[in-house]
Amino acid sequence: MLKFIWYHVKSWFYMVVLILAIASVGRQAQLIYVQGQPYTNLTNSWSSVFFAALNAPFKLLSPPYHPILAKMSSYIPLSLFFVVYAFIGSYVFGVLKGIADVFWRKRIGYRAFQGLFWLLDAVPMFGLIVLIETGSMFLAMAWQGDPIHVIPNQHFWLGNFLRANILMVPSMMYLSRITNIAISFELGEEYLLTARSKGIRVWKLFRRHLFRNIVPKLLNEAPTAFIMILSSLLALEYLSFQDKGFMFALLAGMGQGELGQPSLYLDQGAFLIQAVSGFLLMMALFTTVFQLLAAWLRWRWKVVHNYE
Amino acid sequence: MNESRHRWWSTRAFIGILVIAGFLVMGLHPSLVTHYGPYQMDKIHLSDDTIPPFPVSRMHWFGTDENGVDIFTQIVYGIVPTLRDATIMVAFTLAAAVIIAVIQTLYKVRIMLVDRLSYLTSIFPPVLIMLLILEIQPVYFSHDSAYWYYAVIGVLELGRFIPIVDKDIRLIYQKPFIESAVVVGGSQWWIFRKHVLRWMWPYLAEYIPSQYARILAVMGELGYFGVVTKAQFLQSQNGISFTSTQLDLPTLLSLGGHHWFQVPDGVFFPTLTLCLMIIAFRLIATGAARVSMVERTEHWPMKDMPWWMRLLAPRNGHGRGGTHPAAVGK
Repeated sequence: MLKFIWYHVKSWFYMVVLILAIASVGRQAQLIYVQGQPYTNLTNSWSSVFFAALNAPFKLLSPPYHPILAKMSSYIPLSLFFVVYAFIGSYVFGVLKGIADVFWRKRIGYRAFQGLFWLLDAVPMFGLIVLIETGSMFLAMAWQGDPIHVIPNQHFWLGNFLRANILMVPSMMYLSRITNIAISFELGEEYLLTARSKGIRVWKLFRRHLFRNIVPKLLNEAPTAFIMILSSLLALEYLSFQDKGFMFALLAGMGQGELGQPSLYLDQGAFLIQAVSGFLLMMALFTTVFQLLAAWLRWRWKVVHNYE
Repeated sequence: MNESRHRWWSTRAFIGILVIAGFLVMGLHPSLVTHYGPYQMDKIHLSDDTIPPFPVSRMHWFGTDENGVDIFTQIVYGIVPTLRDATIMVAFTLAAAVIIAVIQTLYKVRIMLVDRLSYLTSIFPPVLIMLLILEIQPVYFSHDSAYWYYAVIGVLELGRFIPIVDKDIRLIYQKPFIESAVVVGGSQWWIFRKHVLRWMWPYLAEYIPSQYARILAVMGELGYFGVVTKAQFLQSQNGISFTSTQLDLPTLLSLGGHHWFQVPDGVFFPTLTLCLMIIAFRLIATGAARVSMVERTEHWPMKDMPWWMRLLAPRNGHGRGGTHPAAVGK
């Protein structure tokens, strides 16, 4: 187990160093700021910027930088809500949809529902967000009263809750496809026929035999679903102006101004090497914990039946 | 045998191809649909004495930007360059992924660099890494920024794409007839050409449109961040402004994003167009896709069809609920 954890942590360590190396290349020392002040004692070379990036997390851990760390941590809750909601939601709704896809395939009404979700999945994340954002602007212009409060707004239910649901769509559709295929494979197995011939009820057959055997297959997809959600979170927070979010803060740290302002390198914020390093490390830590959890779950649900 | 099992026609793929063909016709012959030039400015409407940005109207179907340039015309002129950029990256990722996957399967080796690349894209959001690289100042302002753009997106997309291709090609190489071909003394190249390649067409028919959809999505997303093939700036007495003479959809998104609240049309319509393109490619991919890997490997290739019909890739009875295990079980 320790070996397994070490393997994951080691890979992650290399990857984070690589990402920090990429992040530090080509950034001029004069453009790098800490707490609103330029980095002092930095020559304008890649190595000095790189070592500043490597040094940043250690600096953040020292007492004078605790307020910055606290401020950076304050960006976590909103993003954590988005990610956790989307992850759990994509498993719950994805599996349910996958099951329905198999058993309700012939229902005409359900085909329409499937088509709607296919369309939602086919539109890229940025498209969904921009169409909702600009669409609600147009809608608000056309229908200023909004007496029944249906136009997306900054309140929770039509704001962040709606966004969390949008974030859920790609991973949910992915998991529903996996569930669909896994069930289709499993349905051809003879042990199901044996169990049925012995008189087991369909629901019990499904729950005890079929579903239990597709769980490992579903758990295998957890890291993929997670990275899909993180990738979508980037577009979601940036394009829907979620300045209280983790990814938004990371992008701001990279000097990426808010959408609606002039482009990067024109009206940019400074490249906050500490913020970027700190956020990337936080993301790394978060993802490592998640990967370990997913691996433990996979180990816990041993493969009962192999499709091969 | 069920009639629908060997149906070579796919309505979804047909609709998708029709939409893309429509885009191409408009893009190649813009004068068919618009009489404005892409840089022509509509400065004033004397009838009601108004100045741009003009809203959606009969004269400007998608409105104008703040300079009075017709957004519809810009989009129409931007279709071909967008598809050109996407084609370059799709061709690169596809060719490289297939070559690497074949080498890895044939010689039973793992190329470490490729493995690391795939791992990297599976743990960090690839778009974030693209941004980190493409926003490096010397890269962003480079004269060769377009090549950087193609290379960075291409390589990182390759990392994401290789495991998929690798798995599919390994599946082909595991087939019994490959072993038979080895036993009768076929060379690796002969086996690849005569047996493997023939079985790869249905996979390619699905890969190509889905890669187009994926790469267009990445290009669009980077566009909002101001990352385009060629970023140009204008320094004047009023300061520096982002300007670009090139016409592609990511640049339009990038330009429109700066005036999001003043001119929402500038973001809304290019986004809509790009989404429509992506949906069309996804439709083609869905039409070409098999329901399951087993079906794909059982019923291909169909020798009695010309290659272009095969590209439309039939859906079998499974998609229509014909011989699906669930239906058979009932």
